[in-house]
Amino acid sequence: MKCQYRPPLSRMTFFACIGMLCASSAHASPAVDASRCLSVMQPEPPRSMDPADQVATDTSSILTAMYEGLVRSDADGTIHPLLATAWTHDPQGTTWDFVLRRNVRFHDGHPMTADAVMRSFRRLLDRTAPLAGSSRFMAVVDTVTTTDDDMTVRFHLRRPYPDFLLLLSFSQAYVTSPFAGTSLSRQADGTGPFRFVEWKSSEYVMQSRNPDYWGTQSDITNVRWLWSAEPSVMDMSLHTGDSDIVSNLPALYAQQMQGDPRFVIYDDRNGPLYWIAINMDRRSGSDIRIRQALNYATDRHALVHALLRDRGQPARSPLQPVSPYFVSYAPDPQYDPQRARTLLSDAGLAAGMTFNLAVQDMDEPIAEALQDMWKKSGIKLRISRLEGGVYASEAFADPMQKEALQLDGVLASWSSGFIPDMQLRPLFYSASAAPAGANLGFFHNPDVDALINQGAVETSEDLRKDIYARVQKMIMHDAPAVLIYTRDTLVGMRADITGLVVRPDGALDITHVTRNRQPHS
Amino acid sequence: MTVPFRALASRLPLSLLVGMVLTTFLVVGALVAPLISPADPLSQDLYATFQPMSWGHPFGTDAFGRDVFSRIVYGTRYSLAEVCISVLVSCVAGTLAGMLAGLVGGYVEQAIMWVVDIVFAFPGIVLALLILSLLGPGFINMLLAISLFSIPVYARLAQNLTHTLQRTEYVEAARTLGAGTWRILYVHIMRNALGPILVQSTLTAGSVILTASSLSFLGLGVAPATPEWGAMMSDGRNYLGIDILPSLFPGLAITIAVLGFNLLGEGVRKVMEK
Amino acid sequence: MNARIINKMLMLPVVMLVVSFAVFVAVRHLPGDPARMLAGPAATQDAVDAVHHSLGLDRPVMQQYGGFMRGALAGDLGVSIESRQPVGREIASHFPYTLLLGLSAYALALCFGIPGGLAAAMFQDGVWDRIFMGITIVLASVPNFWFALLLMELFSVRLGLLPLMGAHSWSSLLMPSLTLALMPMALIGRMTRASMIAVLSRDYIRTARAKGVGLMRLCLRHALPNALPPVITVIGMNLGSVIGGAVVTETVFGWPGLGHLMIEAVRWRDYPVIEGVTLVAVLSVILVNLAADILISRIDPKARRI
Repeated sequence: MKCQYRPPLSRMTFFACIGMLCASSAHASPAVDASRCLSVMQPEPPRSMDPADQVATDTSSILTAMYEGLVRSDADGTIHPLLATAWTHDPQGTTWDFVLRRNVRFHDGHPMTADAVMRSFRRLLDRTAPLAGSSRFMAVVDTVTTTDDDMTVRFHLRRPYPDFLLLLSFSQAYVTSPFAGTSLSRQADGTGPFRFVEWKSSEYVMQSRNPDYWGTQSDITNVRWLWSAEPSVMDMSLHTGDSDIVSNLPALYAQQMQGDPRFVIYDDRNGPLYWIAINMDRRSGSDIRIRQALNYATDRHALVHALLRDRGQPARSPLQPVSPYFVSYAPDPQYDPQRARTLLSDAGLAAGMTFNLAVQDMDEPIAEALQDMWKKSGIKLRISRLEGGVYASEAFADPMQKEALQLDGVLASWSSGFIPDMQLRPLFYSASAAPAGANLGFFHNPDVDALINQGAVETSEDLRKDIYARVQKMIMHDAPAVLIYTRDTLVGMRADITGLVVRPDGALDITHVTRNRQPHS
Repeated sequence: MTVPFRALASRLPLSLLVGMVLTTFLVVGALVAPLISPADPLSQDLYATFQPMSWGHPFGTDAFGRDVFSRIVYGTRYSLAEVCISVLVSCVAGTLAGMLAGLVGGYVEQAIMWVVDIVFAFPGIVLALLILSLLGPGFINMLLAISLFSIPVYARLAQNLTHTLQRTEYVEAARTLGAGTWRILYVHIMRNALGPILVQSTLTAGSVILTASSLSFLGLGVAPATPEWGAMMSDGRNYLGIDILPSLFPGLAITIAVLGFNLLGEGVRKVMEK
Repeated sequence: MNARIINKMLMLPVVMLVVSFAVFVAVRHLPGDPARMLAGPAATQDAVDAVHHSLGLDRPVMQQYGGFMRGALAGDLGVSIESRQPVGREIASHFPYTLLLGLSAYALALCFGIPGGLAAAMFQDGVWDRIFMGITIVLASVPNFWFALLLMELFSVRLGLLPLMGAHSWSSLLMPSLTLALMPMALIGRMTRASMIAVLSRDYIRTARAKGVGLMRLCLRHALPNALPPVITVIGMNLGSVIGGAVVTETVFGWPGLGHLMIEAVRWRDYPVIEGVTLVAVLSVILVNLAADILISRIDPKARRI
């Protein structure tokens, strides 16, 4: 009897597969000069290469390198010309004309004309095929037309909107090539200093320098965008050199990198505001004493210390501190568990209460810290940690659905840049009650509504400041939310990187980044 | 009394002894958790996060200032619950199904084993992901999901054993004497099958803890702040570059607990083989 | 060909049908609305409804399933809700990574398990045997995600020797495959040892030994082929748990394989992708088991008969 010996199947198959993979992998990474290649890491993967079809900060960063708007905004909100060189508007402020820059071409080679820009904006405003970024523009802009001059575009607004220029600097308003067709969501086609090379699903987005760019050529030849939701991975990638820039670096890691000469931490105080929207439709939310008790039960300073390593501030208003209209509400809601207990027993809850909170994965630490904190005031916090899709549907559920879910509150964050109307209207206007808007707790105060409407159209700066001051005071008094803190935007970079700009909406602008060849002295 | 004990101990395999010691630690830890913990596992101190090891905090503190040692000790309760509930449910359900299939035979057996094979073909975690997404997260739901995909192993084993044992002479004799199916099942088959099934359950115990902690690690198991070992590692994962202790000790605890069950299973098997 | 194997092959389409329907119905009861997720939190209800309609989610379930099956038989598994790419293409682009990871893990497991188990069986109760048993039982007890984190901390953070995550170079493969190999190493090693011990005590081995055949030749040419069938069986049986291990490993290391795709799909309520990946996973398990059965029937002379 002859027994044959055959090597285990797996070994042969392994080598065969390796051979096949080597032979079949047609595209190796493009050969690049490492010193001219920039690697940027963000927490989230991009949603789309179409600027009109996204509302995510991280996606905006990637798109900002490839697309341009009519105007651009500095970190402090100053407006500069970009694809438009000049603009005028009529006395009422409802018709705006923009003169376009000449000799600009899209990546596909077509020239940028007023007609192309008009079609780009019409796509954003198309009511029959709304895109993710359409709603905030549809509320302001009525139509877009060309004029007799083939390089001028005209916007007709529904009503005067003082922050219109800021709105146009948002990523949703970037000009896209009308010749791109339906592939735009997977393949970018704009006018920017970098062009789209590849989007490898779950891996990276690759961009290369646009040789036909109308402006100054960047030093960088290639940009690679990576993403990872895991903070330790973001930190390690900076250490190992896998990334040159890491955006939204968690505060704990930023603190660790503080003294290290190899890295630079860019700390922008303009970051998102975190708060708990209290469901005012339920018993716990309808009584102002209970809402105030929840505020007194919250030790904001401890949260800022433990979770943000003091790179942030306790929230004192529904607007962010960097907003020019920010007013710090006085007196500051202090941490006072005793007072919270007293208020609760006044409201008939001497034995304590239970509060069901929906929170997104990444914000869960805030809720966990609050759980132990609120226990001291007799409040039992039940955390419902939800993944992205479920969170979105529960957070935006209507009063009946929230009642069925027994949801007392939703933890959320919001970042609006500098436009107070973009912060207050979606969150506190009664018609913005979920699911129509982000007023997740169904707050409604007719006086607040009236003031918000006034502020949106008021053109006098002083009057605007006054209106918004009153709005903030009213909202703080009614306490429809537990405002928690504002977090700084932290970007970690290798020390030889300069020229990074963080836009008001938190997106990164890498178009002027350079890498110093000399060692940092 | 030590002499007979020593004599007994020297005759038992090392694996059994070590396994018994480790699992005893687990059970005792679960029972006296409040007595040996220096602190409340849920109590936070936001100004004392990531503290190094010290007398007051033998394993340091975590991201919320909670004592890691206390949380590990209380974690034994969850691991024990995981083992007891999951293994019990899957063992009972699977064994009954497999034995029934083996005894009745024919189309019933084909149908039962066919369903078993389908569940078996599902990669465990994929099935658990689907079940948990349907039922929602939670400790009990997670255990249900794990029990479900552990059933095929017992069903297969029980079916095999039933087939083998059915052919033995005394069962043939009992049949000819007119004994009913249930009686055969209970008196003859179950008693003899108990051994291998027991061994299998100790082996499953280890994998239950691993699967449960994996699911908690993926964020699908227990509620936040619960001192379950897998969940603790999931929290610790975010702070790897800052402090490895909150990730190190829970993983070590899982390893030791699973090792204990695996050794126990191996030891029992060795003893039964003799 | 073995009748049992043919029987199993015929069952394959039936099983796939049942599984696909079960998964199809199940994922449509998952909480969360993919239309809302796609449209974004700032979208109006009309926009969400429009997306809902464009995804075909407002039709009755049976109609949706019918459409899905018609497409699947033609090779079209639908379009991913998140990436708008055909599901088939997403799976095809992620599958090689999982395959590579799995094969490397098994290669490592075999390199360690078979020689180690062989040596342990040859010198049963010897020093190596005891060490080997100890190692394998620890390997089977270590949680793979803990091992992964320790590897990352040591080789990436502290020593900077290996790339941390992703699949950019061959060195990226090292840590993930080592992590995934833990459980197979233990299983293959132990099964090889147990099987070899059983084979070595058989009569024909004793005969060969008495005839003066050398130890190495004896073990490799006579004993090992007969000892392999149970090892192959155990590989097939445990493929399910290795796939589960792959899901966790890919998540920790950001390895762009099917497990990673699956987790993302669950997060995004991406029904087509969830269905597609589940089907592929179940199909793989069944096919590998079938292949194992066929392989055994070829190698093992005893099993060749019906």
